[in-house]
This record gives sequence, C-alpha cells and structure tokens, in this order.
Amino acid sequence: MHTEDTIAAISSPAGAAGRGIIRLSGPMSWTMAQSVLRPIPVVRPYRWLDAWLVEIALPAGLICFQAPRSFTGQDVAELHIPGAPALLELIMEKLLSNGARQAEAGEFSARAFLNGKLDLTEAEGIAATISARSSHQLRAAASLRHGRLHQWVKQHADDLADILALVEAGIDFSDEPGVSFIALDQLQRRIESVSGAIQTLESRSVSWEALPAMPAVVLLGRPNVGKSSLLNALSGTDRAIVSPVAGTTRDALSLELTDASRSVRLVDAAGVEDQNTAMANLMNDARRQTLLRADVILLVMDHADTPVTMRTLLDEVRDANAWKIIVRNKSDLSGGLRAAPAEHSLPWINVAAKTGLNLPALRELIFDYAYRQAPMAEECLTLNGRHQHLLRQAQLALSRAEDILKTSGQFPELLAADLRLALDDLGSISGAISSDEILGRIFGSFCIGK
Amino acid sequence: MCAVHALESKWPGTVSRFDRMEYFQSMTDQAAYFDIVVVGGGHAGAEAAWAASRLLGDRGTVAMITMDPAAIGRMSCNPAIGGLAKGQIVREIDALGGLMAHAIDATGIQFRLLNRSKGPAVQSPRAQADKYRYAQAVQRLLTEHCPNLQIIADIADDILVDPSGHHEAPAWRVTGIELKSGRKLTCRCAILTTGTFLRGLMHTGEKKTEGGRVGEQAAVGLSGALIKLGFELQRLKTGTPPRVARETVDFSSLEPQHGDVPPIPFSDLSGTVAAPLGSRFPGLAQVPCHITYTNAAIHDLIRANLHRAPMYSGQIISRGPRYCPSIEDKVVRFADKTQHQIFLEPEGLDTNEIYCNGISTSLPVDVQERMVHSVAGLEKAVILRHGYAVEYDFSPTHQIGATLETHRADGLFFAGQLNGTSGYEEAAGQGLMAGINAALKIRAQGPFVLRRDQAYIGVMIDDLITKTPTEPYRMFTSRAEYRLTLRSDNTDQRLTPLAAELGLAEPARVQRLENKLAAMRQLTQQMRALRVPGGGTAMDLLRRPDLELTALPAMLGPDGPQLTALLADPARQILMQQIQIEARYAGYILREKHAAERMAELEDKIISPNMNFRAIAELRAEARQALEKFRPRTMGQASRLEGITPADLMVLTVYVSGRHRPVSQPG
Repeated sequence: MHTEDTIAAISSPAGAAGRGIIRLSGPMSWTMAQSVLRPIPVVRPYRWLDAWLVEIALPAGLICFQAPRSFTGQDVAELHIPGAPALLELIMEKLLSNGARQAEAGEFSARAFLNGKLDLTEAEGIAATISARSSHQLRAAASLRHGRLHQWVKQHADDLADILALVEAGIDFSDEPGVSFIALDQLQRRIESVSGAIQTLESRSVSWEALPAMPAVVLLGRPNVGKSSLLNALSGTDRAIVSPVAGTTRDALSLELTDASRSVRLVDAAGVEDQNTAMANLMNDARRQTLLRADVILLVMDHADTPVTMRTLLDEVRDANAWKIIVRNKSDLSGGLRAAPAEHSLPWINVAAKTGLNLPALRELIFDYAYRQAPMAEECLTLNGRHQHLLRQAQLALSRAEDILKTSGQFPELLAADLRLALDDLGSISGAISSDEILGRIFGSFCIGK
Repeated sequence: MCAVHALESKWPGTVSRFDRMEYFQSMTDQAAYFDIVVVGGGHAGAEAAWAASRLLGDRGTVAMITMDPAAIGRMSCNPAIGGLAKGQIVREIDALGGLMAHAIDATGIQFRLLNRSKGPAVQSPRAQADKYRYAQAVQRLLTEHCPNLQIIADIADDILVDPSGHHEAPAWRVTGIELKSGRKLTCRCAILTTGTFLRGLMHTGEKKTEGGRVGEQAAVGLSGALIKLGFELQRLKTGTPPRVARETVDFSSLEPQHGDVPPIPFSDLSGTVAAPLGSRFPGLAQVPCHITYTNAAIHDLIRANLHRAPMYSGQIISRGPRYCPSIEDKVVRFADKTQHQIFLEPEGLDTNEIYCNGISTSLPVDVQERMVHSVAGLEKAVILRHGYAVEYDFSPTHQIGATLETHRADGLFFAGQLNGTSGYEEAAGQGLMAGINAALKIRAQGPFVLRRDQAYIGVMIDDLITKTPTEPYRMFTSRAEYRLTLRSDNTDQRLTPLAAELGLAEPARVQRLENKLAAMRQLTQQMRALRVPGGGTAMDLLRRPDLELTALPAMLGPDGPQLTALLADPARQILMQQIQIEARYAGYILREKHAAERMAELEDKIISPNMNFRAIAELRAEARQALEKFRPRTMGQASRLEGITPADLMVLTVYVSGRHRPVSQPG
C-alpha cells in the first residue's frame, strides 16, 4: 500500500453519536485538518485546540500528534466534531477534495506496523482483521444497498467505456479501413448524457456513513419507551446506557446483531429535544438522515402510547423507504394498544425487553425484513463520501472532455485521457474496466486488422 | 542437395551472401563454454545477442544457435517495421542502443508517419522494408559489430540444468544447451527466442505441415525439454497471406500509396557518421504500395468454402489474434461489409514478391487461387507462396518475471513469440531486455526493468507478467496509461540516459542527446524573451492548441522577425515542435507524472523471490492463488494482478515488511 500520501477516515462508531472523530495520517494530515477549521489553529502537538468548522458555525476540536510519536508513526490529526453522520461526511468530503485519500480497511494499523509501532504478533492480528473486514465489505458490496448503486454506476461506466472504445479505435486503428471515428457532435451528445446522469444521481440521493456494511435497523419511539433496553436485550450486551431518565440515549448508539450467517446494524435514533439550539437542530437533522437511510424501522411503543402518539410516529417515517414494524414493548404492563388499528397493515409484535418475552421472534422478524428487497424508490440511492467524491471527480473529467470537444476535435488522445479518468472514477465504484476490455469492445464492433 | 542451391531456390537473391555463410560456418568451432547462449535468430534473438554481446564486450562470450544463419533477421510475415505503438517500441529500442532501427533505416523502401492528423503522442513511424536486405543488415550488424558473438548453425534440443537447491522458486539452474548434432554448450544464461518454431504446425486448407515457417523445420525437442523442467505450454495461432508475383499484377487501375517526403528515420543516429550501416539515409530507393479491395463474389466464395478452413472445420482450436483476423474471419464476423481493403506491399526492390496485406488465410490452395484471381488488379496474378495459418507452443507468461528470466530456472530467459506476443517489434523489445538482463546477471549487476511510465517496452513486459495472453499480444497505444509521456519524439530523453548508464549507448548518441537538451533549453529561453503585444510571451502562444508554429511570427508584432529567423533552421524547427508538444500537454503530463510517482512507491517495495505465498493464511484463496502463480517481485506488480484487492495488498505488505524490517517495541 502507499504510505506517503495522507489518508482520512471517520473513526467514531457509525450512526448518530454526540461526538464524531475523523482521523488523518500522513505528511499532510495537520494541514488538511487545519483546512476545514476557522480560524486556522496554530498547531501545538498533543494539545487540544478549540476551533470552529469552516462555513458551518459549529464548534470543533483538533489534536495533532507528531511523527514518530503517534499511533501510526506518521503525523496524525484528530478532528473532533458533532457526531451527525451528515456533518461527518461533509467534512470528509472536504478533506478528500483537499487531497486526502479515503483510508482502506485497516490502513491506519498497517501504517503503524510499517513504522515499527506494532510488533509482529500484533501485526498478524491486524492482517487477520483486515482480511475479516474486507470480506465483510465484499459481502456488503454484494448486498442490496450497494448492489443498486453498483448496478447504476456500472450501466453508465459501460456507456462511457463504449465512448472511449470509439475514441481509442480512432487513435489505434485510424490508418486501417472500416474504422470510422464517431462524429464529434454525436460524441458530445453521448458524453453529455453520461455527465447528466451522474448529476441526476447526485441530486436525488441521500448520503450515508463511510461504513454502511450491513442493513440498518433503526429504533424509533418516544423517549423512555425502552429502546435502549430492547437494543441490549436483543444483542445480549450492555452497550447502551439504560436509565429511566428520558433522553439518556443521546450518546447512543449503534451495534451489530448477528444470526448464523447475517448481520444487521441496530441504530437507536437520537431522542428529540425541543430546545432550539444548534446542537438540537443538528441532532434532529441526524435523526432524519438516519431514518432516510434505514432498511427497517422499528416503531417502538409502550403502554403509554395512544392512537395519537402512534400517528405522530407514523407521520415521521412517512417518507422513509424502509420496511416498518411496530414493536409493542412492555407488553407485560397493562394499558396502551395491543394490536394495530384496522387502517394500518404494518406488522405488529408484542414483546417485553425486561422479561425476554417474544424476543427471539422479533430477532427473526428483523432479519427477515432486513434482507428483503427494500421498498425503495428507484432513483433514490445512498452514497457515502467516497462515492460522492468519485462521482464528482468523474463529472469534472467529463466536463474537461466536453471542453476539448468544443475547442477542437484534433486531440483525441487528450479526450481519451479525460474519458479514461472519468471511467476509472466510476470503475472505483462498480469495478475497474481495463484497457484490455476497451480493446475487446473495439474488436467486437469494428473490422480491424490487415 | 547442395546448400547453395537450396538457398537459391528458397530465397532468391541471397547467394551473393554465401561468402558470409561460410564465415558463419567457420565460426561454429570448438568452443564449448559461452556466458550466454541465445537460441533463435529472429527479431528477439538478434536483439538479445546484440545487446548481450555489446554489454559483455571482451569480458564475455555469446553464442547464437540458429537452424539457418542466412535466416537471421528474416521477416516471416509482413515486410514492414513499426506502425501505431510499434513504431514507438522501435524508437525505444534505438534509444536504448538496440539494432532494429539501424537495420530498417538502412533497408526501408517507404517511410510514413502514421496518425499525422492526431496529436504527437499517438503518431508512430512505419516503414516498408526490403526484407532480404533487412535480414542481411541484421546479419551484418551481428557479424561486424559483435566480435564476441559466435553463430552456430544447429538446433537446440535440450536444456541442461542442475537443481538450484532453493526451497521456493527457482527449482533449477541452467548449465547448458544440448544441440541436435550432439554437441553440448555449457553456459550460465540461456535466452530462448523460438518464435513459432516450437512444435510449429502449418495449415493450408486440409493440409498440415510441421514447421515454423514455410520450408523450415519445427523444433520439437525443446518443447519436451521445457515440459520436463515443469513448464506449462499452451498453443496460439497466427496466419499469413499469399504472396503474388509483381510482374503478373496489373497496377494500372490501382491506387498508389506513397511514403513521406522527406522520409523520417527511426534511429537517432541515421544520417550521421555514427550510423553503423553507413551514413546515407534513406539507404534505398523509395517505392509506393498499392491498394485494392475484396468484393462480394470473393466473400461468397469464402462462405461457400468455410468448411474447408482449418479455423472453422475445427482443425485449429488455438486462439488467433482478434486484431489481425484472417479474411475468412472478417467475412464471417462482419458479414454486412461488401469489401475489405488489401495493401499490395513489395517485399523488396529486387524481388518479384508482393505481400497481399489484408487477406491472411488458411483456406485450401484452390480456394486461394480463385480468391486472388477475383481481386481487381490480381486477375492474372501468379501466387508465389500460399497463405497459411501456423499453430505453435507458447509459454504462459506467469512463468517469467520482469527481467524475462523464468521463475523455474535460474539463468533461463524467454523472449518474443514464445511469450505469446506477436510482431517483430514486440519480439525485439523483449529480446533486447532479455539480452541486457542476462548480461547484467553475468556481470553480477542488478536487473534492468523499465517501468510502465518509462517505455512501451515496460508496459508490454509488465502486461505479460501480470496477465497471461489469451491471444497473441500486440502493442496498442491504449495499453499505455502514460501514453502522453511515452511519445516517439522523446524516446532519447526517456531512455538514452539509462542506456548510457548500462554502457549500451554509443558515445555519439549520448553526445547528441546532450546537444539536443542544451538547444531546447536555449530555445525555451528565447521563446520566453519574445513579447506578444498586449501581454505574454511567444511561449504562451506556443501552448495554444489552435495555433500552428507558422502562424506565430505574425502574432508577435515587432518581435516577429526574430521568431521567423529562429524557425528558419529545420533542426531548430523540430526542437520547437517538441517544446510545443510538451507545452500543450503540460497539464496532462503532470497528472501522469503524479500517478507514476504514486505507482513508483509500490514498485520500490520488493517481494523476496523465495516468498511462500501459500503460508499467508489471511489472504483470500483467490489472492493466494494469483500470487503463487505469477510470483510478483514488487508490490506494484502484485497490485496489477487480477483478483487482488487493496486489502490483500495490505495483508501482503504486513508480511513482506515483517520479514525485512526490524520491529521496534511498541510505545
């Protein structure tokens, strides 16, 4: 792997949390972290530096570590910012366009090892981790969530490969008969069409955290309805801080639930607060984003819920393209609703987190729905920061290609260079298209050769 | 039959060289030890012998084994050198001190720069050759300029080895080559350049003949020797068109195609006293080619006889090149086309043979006769040699490394068609690199490997060692991701300094480059000093894609005459064009440079030749298999293998470094 560039990754747990951390490692890490802060803090290594995020008036903190006294042995910067996924991605996107590279799975550890920060035993552990994570990502890539983005990008990469094949044919076989270079205006139209499609995708899609490896199951309900208890009871851990005080799940939470072969991510949507503070707005925004990206939403209710509070819940998830399941918690306590009113056809299950009543059935229901084809609108795809960055890069390259076409058709090799870049960017999402494949397209469609 | 007569009947016009034949024979004397033995005298073999011999000088010896010394440098297929992307390879061979460019410049009979209407990065030189004089030129270069080279007329039959004692690769160490005559040559390195001769099988219709080329026997023993050493061999196929007699062609109705005036040479030394074959360029008279076409009647004829074509009857199952399809392939795959172009290319000035470029075929003789006679201009043509397809053994290229040395046998190198490539230029490029690396091995020096951003030769070899060809591999400019850097105009800047370091570049070549660079620097300064009225300099104008050089003086106003004066000198004009290319491509070249720098970091990470990839449990099975098969020697090569993910690379990095880097205590 490359070790001389600067890598960045969101290193706080995925999902809404009070504080998010973006970590950078590499020679430019301090400068890049500084580039998203105003006023630009003067770096003093190992000290907490207060600052504000550029363009958005939100507080942030920066800690810089100096090579070789850092985890990776390189210069490292840690940006601490409010933990809304949308915000984290916005900042990541800025860092990537400033030249940072999205870290691969386990890359921070690999650098640490290479710089002598870890011994061989630890390193072997890391190799195992990388390997496990990557197979997880490979599985994720095959999942529904990535599957459709993959499909979409693949289709346009395919178009672009055809265009490139036409341009390359004109370069590599122009002296041979039967190879007609595509007309310039036609070429222009076809490039515009790909470029337009990318723009449409970007504008219609919601963003997603950096590591959406598995389907997300979001728990939604009034504060203190027992979401954290459910989370813990389902997973058998004590990760969420459970307390009878409403709103204690502020710092929660997402955890992994696995059955024999599959995983889902359980996310507790942050509690709603009425105060009109910047932080509360951000939290609400985070909650909306979380719901939009859910594959399954568990609408959690208890004995205190009424048809009115239920409608409020349903209204909130009306726009979410996810499966919805109503979970009546605390069913050992009397009162509240016991079954869905006739006008709702949503699945309904009565459970009790405290006693464990019906929890196995709920688990089964969750996996069942999480791995069904999501009821999503076609054009709505989820993109993470890396995807957005790649699509934007592709579009830039395409607009350069269009400029070349406009000024002159004399330089097909420059046109090809930009088309190739755009294709590589799309290929990073949907699978690389090699020069061999381009040649294959040429041979398939033209009578080449003497 | 007397050798002279055999030669005369096969290759008219070659007897005048019989004295040289005798010279060859006299050299096949008693010496039994050579540092390097080159097997084969084709374009790969000639270049390998040339480079090895010149690098070893009086400190080492080289032998070339060839069935027929008069066939050294023979053009078995089309009588031309260069072409798109291939022309760049020839220029690179020249910049590195190879021989191909000298031979073609001395014997070319039509020079053309292809892709003139496109940007300079994709323009390539091409030349028709007098193929008999070309072969003679190659032979002259080898005999007159390589005193430590012995040419031995014999057939290599076996490869002699010792066990290497290594646990992982390589299993063997080469100790010599056994010849069919029974003679044994001991050597430290052997370079196999067997072309289409390994179990060569020629097809013309239903008729099958063993042999590597028409009239030349196949090499069978060597295939067995390779299999015995554990090498895997596969089959490929290629073809060649019929040749017709010039005096029987009616050129009157055909469109001629002329070369460039003035012709541009391949070699930087051509036209100077340093050119090894004489300072005159072009060395021969220039002649045109002619263009004619197939027609619907011919296509019908071919369709009616497809069942007799070996590729369609199932007689040949090996893969042929998609970019060089036979006429039967073209008719089947592009059924809607009513005609295909045929270039009638003279094979030399004195010979009456005309090469019918465009109708490569393995149809039976009677069909070929009818087909040719239906072509406009060829109605009465006499076919001198019929087209044929040839199947031959090649070695899948996961078995070689970047120096072209095999993984299995220390000191054994493969180059040319044996590695599944096609084309004289591709073969020569590999021959040169194998020759250089074998010589460096003898000199106990590190390997010489060209990166993908340094040369097309680097792209080709890297492609080969990271992906085994499934059809004969030919170079295309689109294979080079650093295409705007790898131009024909800057081969000297890219490669001559490297050749100088190796000791392969002639002093005149090095001097010429120094002069050129100094002149370009001076010219750039002068251009920066010329002001454009309203702001900017002549250099800024040079960058604009819409302006030709000739238009610039008028735009300069008062400084215009100075530029006109500068451009008056043709030599300076050529340099100016190159400055213009660099200026126009600047942004793109910079991007290629950054990408290349990132890649170079991976190329510098060396993987031990003894690495046991099987033992890395954390690698996915697919990655383990790919690494085990191709045995990459750098992380860069590993990254380009199919089926390797970034995570695999990271795992590999941990292991590669884990064995070579002292691990400090944590904290």
